[in-house]
Amino acid sequence: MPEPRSEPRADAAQQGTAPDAWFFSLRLIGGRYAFEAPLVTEVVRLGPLTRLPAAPSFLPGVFTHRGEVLPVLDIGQLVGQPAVPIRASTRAAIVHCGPWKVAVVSEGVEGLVSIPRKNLEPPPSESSGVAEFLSAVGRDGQGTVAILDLPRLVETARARAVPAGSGHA
Amino acid sequence: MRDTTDQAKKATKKPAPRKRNGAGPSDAERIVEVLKAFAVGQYGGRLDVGAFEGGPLHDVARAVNATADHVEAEIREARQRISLVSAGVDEAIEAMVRLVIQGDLTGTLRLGGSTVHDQALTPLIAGVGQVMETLKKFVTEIREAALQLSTSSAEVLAAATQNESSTSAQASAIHETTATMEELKGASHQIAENAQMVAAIAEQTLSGGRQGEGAIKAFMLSMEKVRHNAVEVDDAIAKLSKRVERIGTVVEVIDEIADRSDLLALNAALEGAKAGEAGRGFSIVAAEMRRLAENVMESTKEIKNLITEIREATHAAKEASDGNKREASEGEKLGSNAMQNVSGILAGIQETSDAARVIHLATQQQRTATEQVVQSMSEIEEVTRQAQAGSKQATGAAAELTKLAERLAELVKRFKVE
Repeated sequence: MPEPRSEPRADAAQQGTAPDAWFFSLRLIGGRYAFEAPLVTEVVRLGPLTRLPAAPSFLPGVFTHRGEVLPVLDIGQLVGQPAVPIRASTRAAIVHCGPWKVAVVSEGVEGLVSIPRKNLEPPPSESSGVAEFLSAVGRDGQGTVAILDLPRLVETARARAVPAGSGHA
Repeated sequence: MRDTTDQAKKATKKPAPRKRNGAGPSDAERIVEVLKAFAVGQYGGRLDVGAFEGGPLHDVARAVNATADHVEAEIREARQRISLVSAGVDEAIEAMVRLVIQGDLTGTLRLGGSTVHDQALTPLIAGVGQVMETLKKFVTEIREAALQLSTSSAEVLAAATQNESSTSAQASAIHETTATMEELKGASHQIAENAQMVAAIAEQTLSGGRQGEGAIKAFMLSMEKVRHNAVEVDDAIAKLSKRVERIGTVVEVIDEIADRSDLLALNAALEGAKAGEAGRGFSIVAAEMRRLAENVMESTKEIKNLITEIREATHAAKEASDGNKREASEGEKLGSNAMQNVSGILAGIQETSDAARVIHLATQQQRTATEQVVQSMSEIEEVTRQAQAGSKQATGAAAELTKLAERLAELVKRFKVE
């Protein structure tokens, strides 16, 4: 896990269109998952969590970060996988998806990886579990990394959370 | 009677001188001649009375003749009586001899068929009768004595035989006793030797036990030292443990710092990425920082592993030292027990040694006593042998005596008393 495969030789400024793109990679449910790097604002250690009553299992609680109360999203639980264990050293990536700002818990943060867009392959045509939220599959020096469509994932989470949570809050 | 003869002679003598007065040989001379013959015991001569017819010596001659006749008759009678008496005496002697030879003492002495009842024989017969009576009495007494002698000698024989057999039994018993005493002597000798051996062994054991006692003392000292050392080791381990804990805390701090550095570097990299080309160098530095932080974390992980190992080792050492302490105190306890036991053993051995010595002494005395007894027994045996020989002789003598008594009885039986 030492160095992040950061080889920012190409122009980091042109994000979406450039041949090389930056992804933020972390370990989840036993694999490497990544999403567009610009979505990540910060990597933090999860402080003490406040559990929300009647919240779905993929939202283990909320935590305060720089005066903001942010919901914590467990992607593992969202896709029907075992929960990501939350400890004092557990790291979370604070992501911005449209109007939503959530903390995604991880088993470990790898950091920035750079994968040329032309090398991205379409995800397997499964519609169950985590495959539902995959946008592509990439490869780098460390192996395969699954690219998540994070905005859709967050939207889905929100959508699933709301019917339960709309009555409250 | 003599007087008459003398008178007669005188009377006949008177006519003789008348004859001398006659013719030839006078009458007196012839009478003297006849009387002279009478004087020398020849009473056969007679005077012719017719020649003296008418002479003064006629009556004398007749008287001479009558005297001679009378004397001759008297002599004849005396001779007859003498032969009768001597026949009676002979008969009496013969009867007595016969009686003595035949042993028949029954009845009184009778002169068989003898018509001699001479007064002269009466005292003889009476004396013989008395002798026979006395003889009879003697025989009877001898018979009784012989009977008694026979009985007594039989008793003596029986007693002597019994004496002999009991003496020989005594001799064999003494012999056996002597043999037994010899055995006893051997046995006591053996015992004395064994007791001496026991004493020697006890002595050896005693010195061995003393050495053991010294060894146990040394062992107990060592155990005490071990316990002392274990306590020191304990202290050292406790200090070491504290230090290690301290190192652990420090490592935790370092780890925390490294983690935070890592996080910082990560965020810096993110910031650099956001800054585009301008943040590129920044990103490189951030990546380098992350690597360093990760290196630190690797190292701290290694240190933590080492600390864990040290902790385990320390724990094991503590366990071992505790064990040492336990073992040492157990060893001390065992040592003191062993000490007590050895002391008991030593006391026991001492007693054994003393007892063995006493036994040795006692058996030696016993040996001496036994030897004396054996000596005495052999003397007794000698005496008994002599007594045995004597009693054998006594038995022989008694047997002979019995035989003699029987013979005497036989002999006495030949005399019939009743």
